[in-house]
Amino acid sequence: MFPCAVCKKAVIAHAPSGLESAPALDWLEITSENFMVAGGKPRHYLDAIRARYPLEMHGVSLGIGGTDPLHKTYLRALKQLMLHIEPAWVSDHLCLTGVNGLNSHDLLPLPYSEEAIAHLSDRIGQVQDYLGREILLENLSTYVEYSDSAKPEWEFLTQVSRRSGCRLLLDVNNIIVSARNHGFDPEVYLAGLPAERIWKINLAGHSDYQHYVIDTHDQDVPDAVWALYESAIRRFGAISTMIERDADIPPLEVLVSDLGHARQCHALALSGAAQ
Amino acid sequence: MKLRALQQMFFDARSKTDDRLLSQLVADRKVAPEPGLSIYRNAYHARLVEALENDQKLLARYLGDALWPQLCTGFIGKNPSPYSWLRNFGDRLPAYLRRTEPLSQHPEIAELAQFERALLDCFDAPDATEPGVAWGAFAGLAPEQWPGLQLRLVPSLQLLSVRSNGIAIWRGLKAQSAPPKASLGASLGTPTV
Repeated sequence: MFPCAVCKKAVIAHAPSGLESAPALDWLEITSENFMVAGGKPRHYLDAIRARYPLEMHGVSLGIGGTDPLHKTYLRALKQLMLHIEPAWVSDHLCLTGVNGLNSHDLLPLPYSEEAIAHLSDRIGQVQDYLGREILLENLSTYVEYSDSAKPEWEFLTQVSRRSGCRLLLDVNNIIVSARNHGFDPEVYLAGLPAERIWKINLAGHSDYQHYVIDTHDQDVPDAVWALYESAIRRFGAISTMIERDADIPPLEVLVSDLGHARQCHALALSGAAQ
Repeated sequence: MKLRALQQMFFDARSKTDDRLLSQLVADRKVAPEPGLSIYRNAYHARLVEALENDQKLLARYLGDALWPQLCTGFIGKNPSPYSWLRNFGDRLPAYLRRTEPLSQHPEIAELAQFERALLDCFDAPDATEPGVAWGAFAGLAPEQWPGLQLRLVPSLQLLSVRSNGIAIWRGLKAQSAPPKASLGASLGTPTV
């Protein structure tokens, strides 16, 4: 049993009619911020979907790597939503979102430094204590690299996870994107990760501009991502997997069919037939 | 460099005139620092424009392909977001339109934006805790019940003060018909179904 899901935007794009047929999805992910509202239409659909499927919460605004104090209003709303829908996981990104009281509304990279690891460990601990549970943090797709980075990204993720106790949400597409942009071997990246801390995998597509690659979530999952996914499953075992699609969204049945491919990858990789 | 200083430098680099961050980036990667930073700059702008367009579809249509991008660029440049939620980024757009020349000379534009924003707020306002009252129910009230009658408004209700026909223009745009000519004097226009 390998729980799989398609991305929130894909499902919302097809809601409510797409969900009336109750497609065979093991769980669904929501973007937390879209439902941190008092009531109305978003909460109505959320409750209707929650009645049919387990949910997972994925945020974009925690700003765990930031150096401003943690945003109490945001955390309070996150916890309220969490208590309301009882998600399987609560996740966000290992990144910076803003500084000095201002928000970029983007997922900006952190330097892979000892200072950043110590800072993150403290902040993640505060969030986990407040929420009363472990959180999952996702690796980014990046387009620049800091001179201050003293170690490769996979070592940084490993140390942050082990020191803070958080789990890792491994975005395989982001590894491919960053590998292309920075020139590292994605298999070396996988080999450097702590298998016991990887809790979820994301798959998506990207846009290839030859000299660089951008994580756009508007394409089918490409062969390179599927191949690295198979490799990840062989290394890490049966990890819950989600396909993200945020633009140019195809019919829901196409995405559900892609999930079937993910399940096949699981089966083949674990049986050794894909090796 | 200390983490906070580096983060401030990255945030400041969203402006195309601030290139200090480039000296803090590794130069020998497949994507060089300058094009790499441009990807973040472009994404920052595109994401905020998309948020404004999602909020203000009819204002964008009213202003057209020449004025709307100019408005977005001006607003984004002058209003870095203090919000945790991208949903709130456009909260201050109506006020910006009221005070910023030359669009401030056309009050219907700010009022159209204010109306669209208010609609958004209605859709995720707290739900009413009691069922609504249909008009027909009033007819069934006995005369002696009227003096003690108290009405409670639904939480999503907002009162807007307008002095132009901005809402009538909104209705025309929504109905995909030619909007009325802008004028002073509040006008709500003809309701659309």
